[in-house]
Amino acid sequence: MDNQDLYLKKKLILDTLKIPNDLLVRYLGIVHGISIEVYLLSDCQIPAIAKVLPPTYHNPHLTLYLYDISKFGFTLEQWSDEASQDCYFLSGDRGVIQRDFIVKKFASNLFCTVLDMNTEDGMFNLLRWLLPPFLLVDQAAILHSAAVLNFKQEALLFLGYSGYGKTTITSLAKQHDVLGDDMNMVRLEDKKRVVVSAGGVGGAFKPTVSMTITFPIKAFFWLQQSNKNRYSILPSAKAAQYLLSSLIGWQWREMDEQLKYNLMNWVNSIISNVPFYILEFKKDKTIWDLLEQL
Amino acid sequence: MLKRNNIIENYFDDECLLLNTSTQKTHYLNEVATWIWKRLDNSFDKKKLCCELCEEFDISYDIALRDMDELLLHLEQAMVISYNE
Repeated sequence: MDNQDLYLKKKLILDTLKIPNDLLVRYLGIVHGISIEVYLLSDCQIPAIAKVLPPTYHNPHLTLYLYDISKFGFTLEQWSDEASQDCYFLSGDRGVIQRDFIVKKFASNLFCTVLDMNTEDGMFNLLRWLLPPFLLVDQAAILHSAAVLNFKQEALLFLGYSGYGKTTITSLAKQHDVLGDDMNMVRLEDKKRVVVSAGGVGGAFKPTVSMTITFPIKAFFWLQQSNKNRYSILPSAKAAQYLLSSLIGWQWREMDEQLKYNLMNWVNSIISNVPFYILEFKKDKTIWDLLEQL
Repeated sequence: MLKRNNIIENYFDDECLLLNTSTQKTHYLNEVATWIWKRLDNSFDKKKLCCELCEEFDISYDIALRDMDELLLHLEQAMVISYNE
């Protein structure tokens, strides 16, 4: 983080945050089956939240007190004036400082956050930090990945670090439906069926496929740009390594033993039910001819 | 020689994936590395283990020693094992 002064300001806000008594407007929204009770300063903030969290009547899984950055005198430019996208975790699982949000944890299901409510990015980034433990209860996790349907309406999941080609292989899939190009939620159903749906958790990409339909995952691919197209199956330990490195929102050092066990168990279940390949590909549409033969 | 206590071991047949929960880094161990990993403990004797490794995988002592040194160096640098705790 370049702007040390800004980091210290954010840390001071975080350290002094208490459970608010001035956020009196209650809104109940839902994302990927997780119901969130949000407390706001005024009614006019509800439309911005409803864009990310559509309204629901389900009992809340968690409570979120939400302040806009203007409450603390920040403009968006001042708040996000950092070159780094890195996330800073306070020890003891007490909270997070990031470029577009800070959040303090008061209990496993009680949080207070400060972010810019006029942009969706901050809220989505917060959700990627907030949701994983709740999603895992439902055998789901967010993967840094691109998800594209083949002609049989099966999903192909492409994994890799930033710059490995997720956006490239998505852009080459002209004749295919794309579910998401960056963050996708993968779910294990009935202990053996692995599915994904459109929409994911944030990102600029807007899918054309309904977000209520789930698609079975045919295969995972770890991307490697090359001058030829070919794939080969990965050994399970290697597949687990790549899957673990693609998980979003987990801090292993802050997790209790049961949660570690559950997450590792989820990873093992996924790779034992879906084949995992390394995919070498060149940057032209011929890769999709190969993938359709799989 | 000690395996640090913040390591999660995940075994798959003859291979293994180690996760260091402090650094958040994973370490893939192939069949040979997994065989060595399973035998690392306080009674670690490098020469003895190299001899056993030669027999198990039908390799020369020099290759066994080189493989073991490479693995131990990697695991120590990755804070997966420690010699002085």
